[in-house]
Amino acid sequence: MEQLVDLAVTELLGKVAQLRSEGCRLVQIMCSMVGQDYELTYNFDKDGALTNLRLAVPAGNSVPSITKEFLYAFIWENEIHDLFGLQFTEMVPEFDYHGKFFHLEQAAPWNPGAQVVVPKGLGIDASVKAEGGAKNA
Amino acid sequence: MLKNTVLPFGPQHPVLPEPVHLDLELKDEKVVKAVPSIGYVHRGLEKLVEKRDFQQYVYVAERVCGICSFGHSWGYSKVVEKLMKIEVPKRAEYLRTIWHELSRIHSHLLWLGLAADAMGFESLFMQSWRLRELVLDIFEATTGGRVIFSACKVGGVRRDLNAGQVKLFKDNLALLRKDLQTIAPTFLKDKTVALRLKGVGVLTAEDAHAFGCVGPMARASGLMEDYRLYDEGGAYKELGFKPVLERAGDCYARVAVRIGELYQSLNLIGAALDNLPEGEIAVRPMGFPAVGECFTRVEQPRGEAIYYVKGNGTKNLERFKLRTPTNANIPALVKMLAGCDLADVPNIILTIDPCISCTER
Amino acid sequence: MSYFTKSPWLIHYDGSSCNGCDIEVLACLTPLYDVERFGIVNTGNPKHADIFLVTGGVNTQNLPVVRQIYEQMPEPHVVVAVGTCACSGGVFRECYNMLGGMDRAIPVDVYVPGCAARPESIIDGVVKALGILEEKAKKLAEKKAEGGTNGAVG
Repeated sequence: MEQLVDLAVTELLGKVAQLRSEGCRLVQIMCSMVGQDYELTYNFDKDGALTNLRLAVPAGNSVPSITKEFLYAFIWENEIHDLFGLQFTEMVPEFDYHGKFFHLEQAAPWNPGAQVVVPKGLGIDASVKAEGGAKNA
Repeated sequence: MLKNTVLPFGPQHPVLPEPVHLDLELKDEKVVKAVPSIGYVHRGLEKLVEKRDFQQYVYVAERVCGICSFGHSWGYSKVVEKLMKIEVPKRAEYLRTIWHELSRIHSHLLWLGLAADAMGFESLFMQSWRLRELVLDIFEATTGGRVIFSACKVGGVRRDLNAGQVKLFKDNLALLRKDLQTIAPTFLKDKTVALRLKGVGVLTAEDAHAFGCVGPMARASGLMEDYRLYDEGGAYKELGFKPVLERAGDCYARVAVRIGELYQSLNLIGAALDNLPEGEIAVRPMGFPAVGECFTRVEQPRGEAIYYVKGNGTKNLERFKLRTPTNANIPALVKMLAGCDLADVPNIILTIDPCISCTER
Repeated sequence: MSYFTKSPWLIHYDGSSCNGCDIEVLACLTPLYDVERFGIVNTGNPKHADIFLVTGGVNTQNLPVVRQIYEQMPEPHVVVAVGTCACSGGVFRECYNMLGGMDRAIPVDVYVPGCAARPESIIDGVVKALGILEEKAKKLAEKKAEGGTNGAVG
C-alpha cells in the first residue's frame, strides 16, 4: 500500500495546508465504518504518486472541513455527511448543502444509528409531490 | 429590487440522457448560482460487496455505468489483484488495454454525437453514432456484448482474440479512421459549431487546478492530468504515451481534445495489436483477499477514477469504494455555470461528459 | 387501422439505469436501426408521447418523478420497461436504495429483458406495445361511445 499517514483530527488542517503548498491535487475523501466509528481517508496526488491521510473519528464527533484549502472538497464532504451522518464543521457557506445534496429514502444508510436531520424538499425551493395516482403497491 | 428566480433543471430533461437535478438561481437570463443535487440513480451498490463474493462482484462493478463499463471492471479487477498480489499475464494486460482504448473511442464518439444534438446539429449526431456502430460491431464479435461485455475478471480476461478477430479489428478501425476524417472537420472547422462552442464555459488552467479537474476537462485547459502516464497496468509503458493538450479551456477545446484522443486511441490499439504477446490470458486467483487495503487508478474516458478495496480474509470484501471522474468534475461544473447564459446550460453540462450513474453509484 | 399506430411518439426516461439500456434506446434512432422510418419520434414532452420507454429500476427518489411523467401522458398510453433492471431490479435488486422493477411505480405493459437490451429487442418491444396501444384505443373509444349516448347534448 502506498504511503499512509495516520493523523489526529487536530493535525488535519495543518497537513492539508502543507500538501496544498506543495501543489498536490485532492483526489478524493472517502469514509468507511469501523463498528460505530468513522474511518476517513484523504488521497492527494502529485505527479502520479499518492499521499494518503487516515483519520479515525469516534462516533458522534465532527471533523473540520478542508474547503478553505481545497474548495472542491465540498462535493465529498456533503456526500459523506449525507451517506454516513458525519458532520463537517466550518464548511465554506456557499457550498454547504445541509443534507440536501444526496437524496435518500433513509438518512445515512451506511450508518443507521447516526442522528441526521434531513430537511424536506429538493435543492433550494423546488419540490416534487410524491403522493397521488398510486397504481401499484 | 427583484428577487432572483430559481429554475429547477432536471431530472427529466430532453438534452440529458440521465437524471440530474440542478437548481439554477437566475437573474434575467444569466445564471447566478447553481446548486446540484443527486440521488436519482443511486443504487447503493458499494454495499453489495457484503452479499457478493470478490469474483462475482466484478459483474456488479461493470454495471456502475454502461459507457465506462470496461474501465470499471478493469479497475476493480486491478485493485483486487493488487491486494491479492496476483501477477496478470502480459497478453491479458495488452488485451485489457485494447478493449479499454476501444471503450474510449466508443465513449468519445457517443459524447460527440450528444454534444452535436445539444447544439441542434442532428445530422452530425446521427453520423457520429453511425460510426459508433462500427466500434460496437467489434465489441460484439470479440466479447459477445455491445455495451456490457463481462470481458475482464480478477486474474485476467475471459476471452482471447484469434487471427480472424484481429483482422476484423484492423479492418473496422481503418474504416473508422477514414470516416472520422470526414466528420471531425465539421466539429473543428464549421462556423456554426464554433459560434456555439468557442468562448463558452471557459475554465482557465488555474481554475482547473483549483477545482481539481480530471480528464479531458483538465487537459483542455492545459493541465497535464492523465493517469496513463503513470499507469503500471496495461500496455501504456511499453507503447509510449503522450496526453493530448489544448490551452483555451472552453467547450471548443474540450471537443478538440476528445477528437485528438480518438486518433490517439486508434494509434494505440494498432500498436497493441501489432505487438500482442503470446501467452495465457488469465491466472486463477488462489485463496481469498488478504487482510489489508489498496488503492489503484485507471484513466477512464472521462478522467481518472480511483478504486479502493479493503479485504478481511474472507471471500467477501469488507469495503469497496469508487470515485469516478464525473464526481471530481462536478465542482468545476458548478463554477462554470455561475455567470453563464441560460441557453448555454445544457451545453456546459454536457461538456464535462457527465455520467451521473457513475457519480452516484 | 387505428391512427395511433401510424406514428407513435415515445418518451424515454432513465430511472436508475447504468446507461447501457439508455444508449441502446438512443441507438434505435440512429442510422443502423432507424426507427424514424416507422414514424417513431423521440420527444421530451410527456404530453406529446404515446409510449413511455423506461430503463433502470425504481428507487424512492425517482418514484414520484416516474409517476408524474406517467400521469402527464394522455390516454391511451403504454409503458415499455427496457432492460433487466426495469423488469425486476436486475443485478442491483438487493441494494439498499432499490425498490425493485418499474412495475413497483407504474403499470408496465411490455417487459424487454437484456443487460443491456439490444436495439432489436427494444424495437420488438415497441412493436408489441403498439398492438397493446391499439387495443387500449379501441376500449377507450367503446367507453366513450357508451357514455356519449347517455349524456349526449342536442
